[in-house]
Amino acid sequence: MADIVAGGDAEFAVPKAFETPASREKRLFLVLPIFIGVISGLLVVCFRISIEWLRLGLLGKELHRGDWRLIAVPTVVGFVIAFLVEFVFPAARGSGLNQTKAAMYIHDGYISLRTMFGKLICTALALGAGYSLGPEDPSVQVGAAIASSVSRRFRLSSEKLRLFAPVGAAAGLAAAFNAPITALLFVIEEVVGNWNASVLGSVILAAISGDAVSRWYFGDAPLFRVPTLEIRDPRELGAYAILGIAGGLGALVFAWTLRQLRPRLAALPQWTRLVQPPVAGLLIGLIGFLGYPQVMGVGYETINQAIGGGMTWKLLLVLALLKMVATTLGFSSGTPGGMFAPTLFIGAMLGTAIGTLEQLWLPHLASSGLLGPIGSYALVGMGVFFAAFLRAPLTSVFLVLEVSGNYSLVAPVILANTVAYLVARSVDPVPIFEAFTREDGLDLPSMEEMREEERLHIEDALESSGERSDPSQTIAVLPANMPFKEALSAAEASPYADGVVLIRFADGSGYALGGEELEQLGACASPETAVGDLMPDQRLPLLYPDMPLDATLRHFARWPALLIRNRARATAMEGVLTEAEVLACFRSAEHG
Amino acid sequence: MRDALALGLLVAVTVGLFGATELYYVAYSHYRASLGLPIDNSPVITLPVVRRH
Repeated sequence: MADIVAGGDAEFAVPKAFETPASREKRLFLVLPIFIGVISGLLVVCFRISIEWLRLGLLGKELHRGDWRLIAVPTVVGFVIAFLVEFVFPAARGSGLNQTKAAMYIHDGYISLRTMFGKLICTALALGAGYSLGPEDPSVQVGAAIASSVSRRFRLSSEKLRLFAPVGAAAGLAAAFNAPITALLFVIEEVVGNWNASVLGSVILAAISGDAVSRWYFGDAPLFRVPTLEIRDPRELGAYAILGIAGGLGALVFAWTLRQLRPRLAALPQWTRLVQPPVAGLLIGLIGFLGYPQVMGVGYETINQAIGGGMTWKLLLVLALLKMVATTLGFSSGTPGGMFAPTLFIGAMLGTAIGTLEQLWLPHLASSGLLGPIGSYALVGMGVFFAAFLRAPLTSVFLVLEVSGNYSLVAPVILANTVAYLVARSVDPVPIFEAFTREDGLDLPSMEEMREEERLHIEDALESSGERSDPSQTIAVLPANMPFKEALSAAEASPYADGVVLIRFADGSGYALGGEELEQLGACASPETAVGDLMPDQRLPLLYPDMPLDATLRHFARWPALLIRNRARATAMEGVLTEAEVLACFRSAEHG
Repeated sequence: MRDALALGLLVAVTVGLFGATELYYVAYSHYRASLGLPIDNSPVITLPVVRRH
């Protein structure tokens, strides 16, 4: 019979087992992600259609230099966005990525529907009017907001409510990119930061559901089409490594400009928030008006042009630089919009420019087929910039493969992305979104630091205790068939103050106890009784050398020493650890 | 019972949203067609190369 919750009116007493049973939450954790994925997918579809509709309505079918609308539209729409963000949807500011992480780690996964609609409306207006931002990061927040609303309806525990935020985020990103694996990896790599997370299955379900809806409306063709690449000579990879170095340095420049402008604009008086977006819109429009309308809006069509080839390296480099300027202006002014699309744009332009230059400067390599098709440089450039700027190396690889549907690029992509990531990280260890988080006064967990964190394992403590300890100072391990009187003598001879010994049984299990407890257990027994027969049924926990060291700590509340066993042979012993030895291992790791 | 009601509501919202999205998509396709733009194979900003078959 279930326990009854104590206190309160008996009439309203709720059986404890039915309050929030674990099995109910587990079932909901499998069912709700599908609905969250479908609803997020539908909203993202409407969002993407809205962006295009607004773009066609506000700027026309094609953007031409010298068209007055290129200046007027972003300026006027900038005023509308500034008003909406300042007075109606104040939480809609920013890209949506940090807000999703903040929801997960600070607000129990809560994102209001008002914020979600604000983000959808303001971002659609901004992108439709030509602001140089992207729709993907806002889609992450839209998905997280749907997850928050749905999970709250089912009155789940706080822990589960928190975990639903990344589930929705994956659905939103999968629908926006048409790339479910990328969405899964990004959410685990950058939002959750833990591959052992119990949320993994739900994230997969939501990402696939969101992507299925997106494909239902927009088809299953990849975002970009790239010719198949065949690596004929390993030296070809050198060209991609150069691209990795250039991309890493380019990402550092982009991050630097954002870090310079964003805090300066944020420090201006409050009233300037009403003029910052229109001024940014005016300047972005001016770039388009003066001859480079390609930098306006999301820019996927220009990426496709670059992949197709035919653009000069000078134009490509100019577009990459101007896109950095335009995105810095738009993002720093507080206009809602994401950084994914601009990152891909800059990477594609930079990659294509470097590919074109390599073909120009090394014609003998190009003619002998040692340089890949120009489209492959555009694609690898996208991955390179994504890895170096957003510091998501694993996601960057799958992003490139999924948005192109081309797996022949895997070797160059891995090489170039790794080079770019290492270059960027060695110069600036703080990722850009983490810098933004700190500027905003939030203290969210750093995924970069979590990746670098060296986790200690039980084997480390065994090793360090083996190096340090004198064999005469180790805990005596006694066989269970040893007579009680001999065990007592061993306990008295123990170098430890409380006479700790460890009794081992034939099946490999053990029982650790102090001399006092041993005396009490054997008080009524004959001195010849086997000490194992005096022990209670309880046994030491099963611990193995590959387990995390912190897993041992909670057991020291009950046991004076722990037995470390061998996974292959149950009866074999790897060692014995005391609390002091474990703490000494943590201390030595802390001091290098 | 509370879960069943909430799930029923969720299904209703999902179906309703499907209907609304379909109408929005059709209306947008008409708008594109009125501009002389192809409705099946022409990315403008965020859409992939091939639209719904």
